Amino acid sequence: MRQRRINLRGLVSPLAVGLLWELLVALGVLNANYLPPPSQLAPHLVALLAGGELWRHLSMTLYRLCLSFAFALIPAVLLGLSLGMSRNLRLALEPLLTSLYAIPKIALLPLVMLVLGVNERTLIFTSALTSFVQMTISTSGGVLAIDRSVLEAGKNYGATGWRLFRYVLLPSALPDIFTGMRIGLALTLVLVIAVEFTAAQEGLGAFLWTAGQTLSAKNMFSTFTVIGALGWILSYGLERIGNRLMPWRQRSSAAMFL
Amino acid sequence: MSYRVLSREVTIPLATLLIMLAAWETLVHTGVLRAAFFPAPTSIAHTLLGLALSGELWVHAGTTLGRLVLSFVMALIPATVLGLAMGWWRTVRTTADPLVNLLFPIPSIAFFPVVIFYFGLSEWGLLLTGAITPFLLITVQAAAAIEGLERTLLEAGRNYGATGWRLFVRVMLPAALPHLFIGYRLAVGVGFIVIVAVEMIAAKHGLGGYLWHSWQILRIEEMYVGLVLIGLLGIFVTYGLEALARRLMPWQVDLLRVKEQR
Repeated sequence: MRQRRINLRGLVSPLAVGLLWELLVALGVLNANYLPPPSQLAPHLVALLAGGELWRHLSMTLYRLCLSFAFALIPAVLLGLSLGMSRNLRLALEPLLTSLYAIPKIALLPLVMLVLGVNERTLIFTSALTSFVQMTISTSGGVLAIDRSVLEAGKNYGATGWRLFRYVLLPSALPDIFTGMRIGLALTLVLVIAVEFTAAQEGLGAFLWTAGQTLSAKNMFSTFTVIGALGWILSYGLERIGNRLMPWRQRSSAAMFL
Repeated sequence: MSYRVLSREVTIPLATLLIMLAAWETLVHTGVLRAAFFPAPTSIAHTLLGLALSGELWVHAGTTLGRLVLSFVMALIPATVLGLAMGWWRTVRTTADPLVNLLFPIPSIAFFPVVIFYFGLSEWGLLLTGAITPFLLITVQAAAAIEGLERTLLEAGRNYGATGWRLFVRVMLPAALPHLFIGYRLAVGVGFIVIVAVEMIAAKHGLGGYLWHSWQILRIEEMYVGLVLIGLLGIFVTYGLEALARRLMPWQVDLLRVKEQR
């Protein structure tokens, strides 16, 4: 009951902003060509989606996101778990991983282009690297954060080897692996869109960039809305799924949505 | 004395780093790695030195650093004020929270075309793009910092006679500061990614622009120099600020360390 009331109140200020926008355009204070109000944007967005053009760009971006994520997932989790369990391996890979973590992955794009050429593979590889680094670090962090007493308890109850891994280590590290997946995907989305701006003909980034350059405010805001929705699903949606799947995990604070 | 210094924490990373660099160097000289793609570390270092002496490098590094600082300040001040106000006054929170939450998950770089649509490809457009997501992030974190304070802390403060402004400055702010700082650090990290990306897409100056330009004219050594500098700046932004936080707020070391692992 209380939850519902908060949700309704949350609609007040966005609605107020929308109404104010409409009003200012109607009064002629704002130019509808530059700032099309929601009442004009909504039909335009629907038309773009119905016409199939926006779908094409959306599916291209999603394809890039999913493919690179699929490449990164298993190696990242395996490496992350090994790093969490072996101190020597962690120390040995530390220089490489910390530099890769700290550098904005888009800066690696020219180097990858140099080696793989200016093509789709370059974009997928750089995207996969973004997810990979984030997931590896989160996974190893998850293993390292496991309370020693939990491990000891598991051992005392007779869990060793695979059983210790399956019933103690993995469930404890899973929330962090999931957080790494979510942040990795969010960072990858930023990278994919940035690359699409100038180096791709298809994809939401390319469409958004063209719309901005050709001064088509309606196309621009429509695409922006779709990208925003994608970002929303990736952060809030995945977070809810994570909480549902892993009730034992601690709810992360809002600022951890990157 | 030197026994402690030479522990595994230092020797192993250092050894792997040196081995990787040595292997790279050897593979280039034996022709296994193509020097056109992967110039030897020594020749990259040579180019870096030359560029540093000619001063060209400092112009680009300074530009990027300046942009990072300016856009961060543009985000920092209004976001801290808004976030603290959201934590303190319920009305502010219920009004601003939905808007902030609506904008926050939008990929930061997507704001760029929208910003240059209105502001043109100007320095302001660049700075504003770099400031948007940090602004939202700091706001969320500051509001959560005040909201997450332990009630016992506030009660204790009140019992000692602190009310209103005094309670805020003397009790709440110091307790919230480490959380605020986490927000600041994450915000600088995000701002850095956006600024490098935007520079690569649309700027002539700055490390991102320099990196992109040297790739386009196939000056590969210079491209690596750009990459190294972006990496160094990234390392400072990611790890240096955290070390600074430990220095400034020694009473909250554990908190900072736990959050770091996310």
